[in-house]
Amino acid sequence: MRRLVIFVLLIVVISTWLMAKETIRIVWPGTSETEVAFSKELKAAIEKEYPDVSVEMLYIGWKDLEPKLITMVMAGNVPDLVMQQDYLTLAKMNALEPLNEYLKKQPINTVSEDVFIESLLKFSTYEGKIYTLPVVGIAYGLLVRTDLLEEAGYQPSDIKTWDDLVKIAKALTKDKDGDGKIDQYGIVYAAGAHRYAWRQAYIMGYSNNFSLDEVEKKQQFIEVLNLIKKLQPFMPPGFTTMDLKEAFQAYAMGKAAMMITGSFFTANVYPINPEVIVKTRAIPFPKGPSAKDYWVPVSNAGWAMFSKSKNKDLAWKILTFIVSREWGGRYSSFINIPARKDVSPEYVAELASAMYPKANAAIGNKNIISDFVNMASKYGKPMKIIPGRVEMEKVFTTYLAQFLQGQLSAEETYEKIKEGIEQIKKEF
Amino acid sequence: MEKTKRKVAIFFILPSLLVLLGLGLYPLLYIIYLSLHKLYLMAGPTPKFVGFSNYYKILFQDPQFYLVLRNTIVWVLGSTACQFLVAFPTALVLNSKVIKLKGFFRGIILIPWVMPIITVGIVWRWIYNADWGILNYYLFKLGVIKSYINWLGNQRTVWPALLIASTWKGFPYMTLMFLAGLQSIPPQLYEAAKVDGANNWNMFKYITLPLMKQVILVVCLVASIQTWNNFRMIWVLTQGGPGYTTTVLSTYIYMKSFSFYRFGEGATVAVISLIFVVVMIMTYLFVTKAYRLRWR
Repeated sequence: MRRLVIFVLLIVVISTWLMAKETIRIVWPGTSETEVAFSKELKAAIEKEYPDVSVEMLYIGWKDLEPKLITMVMAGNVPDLVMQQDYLTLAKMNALEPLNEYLKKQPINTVSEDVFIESLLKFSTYEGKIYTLPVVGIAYGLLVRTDLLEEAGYQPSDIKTWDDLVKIAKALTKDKDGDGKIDQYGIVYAAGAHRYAWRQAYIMGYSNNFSLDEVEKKQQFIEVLNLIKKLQPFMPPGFTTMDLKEAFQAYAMGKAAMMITGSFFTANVYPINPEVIVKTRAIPFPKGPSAKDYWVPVSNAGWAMFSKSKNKDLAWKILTFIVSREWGGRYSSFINIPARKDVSPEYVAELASAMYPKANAAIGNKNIISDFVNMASKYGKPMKIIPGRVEMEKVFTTYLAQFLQGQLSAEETYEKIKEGIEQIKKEF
Repeated sequence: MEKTKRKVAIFFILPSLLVLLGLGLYPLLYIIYLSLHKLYLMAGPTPKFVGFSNYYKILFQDPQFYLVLRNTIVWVLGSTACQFLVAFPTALVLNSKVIKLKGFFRGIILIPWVMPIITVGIVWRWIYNADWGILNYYLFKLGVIKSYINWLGNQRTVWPALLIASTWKGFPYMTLMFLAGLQSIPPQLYEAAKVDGANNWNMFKYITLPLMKQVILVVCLVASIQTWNNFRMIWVLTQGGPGYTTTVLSTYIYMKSFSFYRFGEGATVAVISLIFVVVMIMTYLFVTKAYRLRWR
């Protein structure tokens, strides 16, 4: 009897082991309602396509993504796949698997090196190694509320230079109910989190034809600082402590008429107030005084595999599934710019209509897609991959805060930022 | 027999001892080890021995370190003092005979203390929100301010704002401790003083205060140690900003390690911070005379 029990138990254990599903752990940084809903659909689709795979989604917002991933890697708790915008730190830690060799193999799920838009794949490449497969292109610019602009007697096309921007931001700053308090501000710049404060200033810097880490370009740099100072009275009082999410809220609720952001705009604003999507257009950030041409920063979000993934072959299959024409295309339908050559903006717009059913948001989104695609193709310039950028962000925001509170002049602020950034650069 | 007893004792102590060694001693030693190494993830994942150069860099070359240290002292002293100023009178009131429904009020004041610190931080962040915060809303409605104030973004208002939030969260603990102290004072002392014609102020000055001195000292010391390591409240409210205005040692350690990936330097700041905490603990042991206890 005892032998029989042992035998049965053994069979159960062995069969359970054999039938056990492989788990793939995916870190998902898009935490807006739309993106989380999409991730659930994707998980179901992967598990349907690969019945032996169980997908575990780990939701970590963009802001906390890097430190949390690093902690996980250092603790040996390594997931398999992650979406990345700034992959450099993890790549430098040898935590990411270079994908060049995988791309040379027989294509799976319609994924090969040549299906991606070259400039976007270039952004995924550092020192010859491809670390991420782009799923969407991201372009950055100025998002404007056309209805509020019209109310003030302007069109988006009137904003061509920084002077125009300041003038229109001023015109859009209003005390609408006459209680002595301003209810609508011209523009919002989320300067509360270093990452976003830097990125928005970076967009301004690009519009003045330089990258913010090029501190030797004194005049251009000081012009950016002065622009922020000039716009300060036309921004909500809490802008220096605002996170990007709060800036989206301010824009969506009509507290700000313009905002500096990227092509992930619709996904973030739609859950707050879908009605503003159709009243929004995207334009390149206006030209600075030292600029010869518009420069629209372009980057990507792509999928990376961890070098310590326990099942790299399977992880690769899932990765290709995520960036396949179908799922990559679907993801770009709400983040706007497809990263694959075989996903047309029309196809994306068609998919997006199902994503954004309320308040004609699909039409608005289609307009925004075409705005971003047009400006990226005309003026797109890949953002620089800057080693030590996170530390530079802190240096920048520290002295920017002092500048905005009147403790430092533009010249002094520039000198302090320059000194800090040069110090960081020395290590590379 | 004695030997067996000892073995049994060791057997039962062992799990706790292992946890203590694994979660207490090992990280401590590892932090000291890291502080003597350069581990900057942007330069590679392998630590490189550099001796005391991290200490030299932090103490003599880091432009922010002394500001951060000053902030920490302001945060610890300010927070403890404010908590004391609210907690002691509250304890006196709750201990007095005048108050009815004492149990109810004692329960009510515990609410801030039992709330998770992150929740408290988020609530206060919303109260202080420059655009939608309830504080600005009412101050504006009442005509106290002419335009909305960015409480957490302004260098002049950010510290008072933080201290108010910290006091609200921390004073119930102090109140409870003081209440326990007050209740341990024998009532006969007050009765005798009354017979001798002492008024309330005299009783407070000559009985309550001297007998509470030890309790006040110990409670304030414990609160100081807790505040020194209170990372969460500042992180949720300001993340150490604007700039480094509210960065304290605990947030600086996090920033160095997990934002800038300079684990060696982060560990160095942690060791320096530890030295301060050790000094505070020694003072605590000295004040409470706990070092005299003989454990059998």
